[in-house]
Amino acid sequence: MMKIADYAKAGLPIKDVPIIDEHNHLGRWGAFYVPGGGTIDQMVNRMDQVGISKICVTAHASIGPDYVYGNNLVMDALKRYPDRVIGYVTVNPNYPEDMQHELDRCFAVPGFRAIKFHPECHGQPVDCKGYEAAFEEAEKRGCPILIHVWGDDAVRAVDGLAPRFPHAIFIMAHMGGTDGHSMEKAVDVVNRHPNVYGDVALSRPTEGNIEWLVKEIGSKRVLFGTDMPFYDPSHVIARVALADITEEEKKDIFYRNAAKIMKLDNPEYRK
Amino acid sequence: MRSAYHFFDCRASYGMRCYRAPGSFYRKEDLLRKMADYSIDCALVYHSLSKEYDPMVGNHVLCREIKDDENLFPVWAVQPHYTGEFDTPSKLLEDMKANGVKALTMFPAPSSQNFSFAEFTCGEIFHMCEEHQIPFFVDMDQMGGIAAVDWLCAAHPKLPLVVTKVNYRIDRDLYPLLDKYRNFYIEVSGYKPFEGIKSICERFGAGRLIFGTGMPESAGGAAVGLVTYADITDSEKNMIASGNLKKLLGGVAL
Repeated sequence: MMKIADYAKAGLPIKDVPIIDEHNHLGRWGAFYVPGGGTIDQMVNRMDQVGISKICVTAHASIGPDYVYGNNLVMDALKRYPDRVIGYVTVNPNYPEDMQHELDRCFAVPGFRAIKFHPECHGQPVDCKGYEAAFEEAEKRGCPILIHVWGDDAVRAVDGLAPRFPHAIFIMAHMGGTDGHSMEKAVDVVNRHPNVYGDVALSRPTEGNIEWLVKEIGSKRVLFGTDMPFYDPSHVIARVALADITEEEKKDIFYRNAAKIMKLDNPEYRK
Repeated sequence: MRSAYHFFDCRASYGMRCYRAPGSFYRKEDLLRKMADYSIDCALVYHSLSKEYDPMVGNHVLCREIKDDENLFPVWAVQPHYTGEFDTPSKLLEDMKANGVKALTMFPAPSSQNFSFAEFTCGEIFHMCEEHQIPFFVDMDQMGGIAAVDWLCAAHPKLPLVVTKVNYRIDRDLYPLLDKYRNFYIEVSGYKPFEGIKSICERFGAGRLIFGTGMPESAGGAAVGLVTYADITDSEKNMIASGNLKKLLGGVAL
């Protein structure tokens, strides 16, 4: 039987491991060219090429100017690929008057299972008052909130929010990002709060980053996220597949942890 | 299991640094171990002292330390010679011949060695590389952005230029540059647009991309996956993994 690393070395889709990618976008992006436009059809094709079973999606338009337009794109993707796509309801704290309505509208659609914030794109801090309805919704549902966490201030904000909303699950996208200092702080926050996770979506990770994360916080709260189609999923999947960690730790990262927090009860995810 | 492809890394380094990222290595032995883990056959390497301290010191430490390593090949960092801190191009060329050095790099950014990446400072070095077909590797952030390729390639149309440490947001500038100039290449470790390698191969050919990891500042396994999982032919993957770099190094005339 091939090891997980062998698939990446050969460029073959990873089999026998049902990979759940918890950090994806959809569509075009204003600041740079996304070849082909980053459509859901392209993304599903790319998932098949590398071996990703499911993706959790927030549209670029939602973390950009128009969360309603973006959430509608995700609804369409959910209808077309119900077995491959999980939806994030993305909200913008600058429109607090509409937040509860948007959360209700989207969560009424099967397949939306979590909430997404991008405070940096929306020009607000992670702990701004405008997000309050979304924090309360996540607390009520016990669902994940994927938050773009880039830098010390964002990490500190999650540190303050996690105990206030103990049933919500906080995912620090990019594990603090920017540099090792912020990541070290993010690791400390994960270690102090059982409802905080971090993902490995990074455009310029340093060598040994996965091994370091597993050593510092274990494999149970590290999530696999690729940021597709912001960038290509190939380098993230290979980074985990080729990391100097055990096969069981790779399985935690590739699917077990995401299946647990997204409440996916397929028996295949319990292996 | 070994990789199905033969990887030749064009951008690796080792040595102690001012800042060491959590989990990253600095010893030569760890670089060799990581190369083995990722099935990378050989690598062009520079020493961290050449970037973060002094290129004259770092270059010679590098040659001394890797002389018995058959799969590591030296890349020297260069500086303008006008202050007398660094050799003149003619002396540099003699030393390169004596030490088997076939590739050069440079760290001119203000946060590094702090000189202008410009004709008046570096023109003689660029001219020497053109004349002897010496591959010249430079990080995009060191050259002040991808747009610098425009003046450099216009002034030195035969310079074998490899832009390293690019990012995934450059296509709107990169595509017209790839159309306009034939003498520059992109090192892949930072080139991560969605289906980006496939798009470059379709529009400009696989001959414009060169495999590099950027280890230890970047993750080596990530660079391997960019190539192995690219939606291109095996022949194109082998060109990127090692063929294009071997061709460049084969053209050096010291």
